[in-house]
Amino acid sequence: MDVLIPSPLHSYTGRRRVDAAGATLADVLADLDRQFPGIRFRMIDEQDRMRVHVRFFVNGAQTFDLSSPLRPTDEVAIVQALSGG
Amino acid sequence: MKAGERRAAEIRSRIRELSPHEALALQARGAALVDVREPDEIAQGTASGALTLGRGFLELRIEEAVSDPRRPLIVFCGTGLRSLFAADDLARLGYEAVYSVAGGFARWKIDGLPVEAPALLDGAARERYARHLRMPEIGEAGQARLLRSKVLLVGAGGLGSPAALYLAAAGVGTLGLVDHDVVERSNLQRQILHTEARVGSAKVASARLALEALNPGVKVVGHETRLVNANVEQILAGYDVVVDGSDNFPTRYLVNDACVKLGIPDVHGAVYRFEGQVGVFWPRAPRQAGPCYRCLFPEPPSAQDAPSCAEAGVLGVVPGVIGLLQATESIKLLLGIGQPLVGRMLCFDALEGRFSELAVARDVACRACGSGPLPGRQDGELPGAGNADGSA
Repeated sequence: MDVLIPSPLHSYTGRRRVDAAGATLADVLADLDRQFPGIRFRMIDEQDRMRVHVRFFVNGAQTFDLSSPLRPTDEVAIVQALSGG
Repeated sequence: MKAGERRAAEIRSRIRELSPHEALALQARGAALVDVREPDEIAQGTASGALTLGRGFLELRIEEAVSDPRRPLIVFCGTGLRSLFAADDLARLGYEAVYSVAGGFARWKIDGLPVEAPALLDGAARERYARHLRMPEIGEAGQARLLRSKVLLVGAGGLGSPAALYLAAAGVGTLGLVDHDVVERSNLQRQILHTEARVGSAKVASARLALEALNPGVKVVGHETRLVNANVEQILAGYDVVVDGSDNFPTRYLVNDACVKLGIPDVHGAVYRFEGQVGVFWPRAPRQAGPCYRCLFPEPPSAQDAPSCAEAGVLGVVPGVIGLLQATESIKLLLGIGQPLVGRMLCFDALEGRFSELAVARDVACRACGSGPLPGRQDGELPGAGNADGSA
């Protein structure tokens, strides 16, 4: 499925839109980490919690549950707080 | 008898005149009441519900205003003479039932019939804001409302520049600017309030020159200081809308928390490289309570997780796009029109040429606006004492 990567993490992916697979958000993040080693830790902390400045949206709706099921046609947007003005 | 009077007498033979009371009764049955006086007369007040088309462009505007030629038209002017000529022209255009009000608006008022309050715009303002006045969503009342409004721009930089310029152009009457920086040459790639000649000047002073040159009718209030806990509420209080165009997280959280407390909408914009975010954070939104910035991002990231634009760069036009969306949202909020970005965030990707819309939910346990069981707070009650409509 399509995953939109926030700009501050483009240093891992080199681009905004990447393809990742998984039946849940946790699976997708694991797949992303396989493709782009280290990226998961920038979004999820040691206790498997979402970092407070990174939020996850599935088809535009926010989700707080890493185990929520996903379909291959879903679009996951990962959004990071930006400060620039 | 003069030629004009002879002609009026001749028109009276085919255009029926109504008394103001008869006109009011016919208007209540669906007739269109048309004011053909000059704009400066109309600005002093008109009959309630009148179409203020004026005489000059009457034939060009009437079809848009009244498309059905069978709908009766009641034309009035100041004293009942000009309206006879106008009524005659409208009848010739094909309107089947056209009347003129004998005695005009002068007699309408003497008879104590309903009038709309005089408008506040003078001739120069009506010319400057002519394109706004043409739109029913704004009109003279909306423009007068903008002129009475106060918007505070936090930061006169990449976001604040386009936002301030367009808000000044739109006639937002008071623009506050908070910035403690001076103009640097590296700002000029995107901060279009400033100029090469003003490198080294305080940004607030430079911005004032640009805004007053564009619209001298706008009052610019400068706050050449850094926003801190001790001054934030004092500076924000009294503004209708706050536009957050700051460049660091401590200021953004400070602005959010003060906006929540004061009940002011926080029109948030942020940029990074080719990406921008814009949303309205407003727990006191009258129609539906929205989230605040902390509902979305409870805490700022560490410095290493969020390098600034100074470190990472930004495409100069991206804050232009986002700053103008902030100005757009501000104007909508001030006028109470459209659907504000409350509970929604637009994310702009310049390289993809795409906006994505994200639904942002309120966090009931939010530290800033949450209605959870926090000490000294009832369920459902929000902190702070601002007005529900944000016009504190």
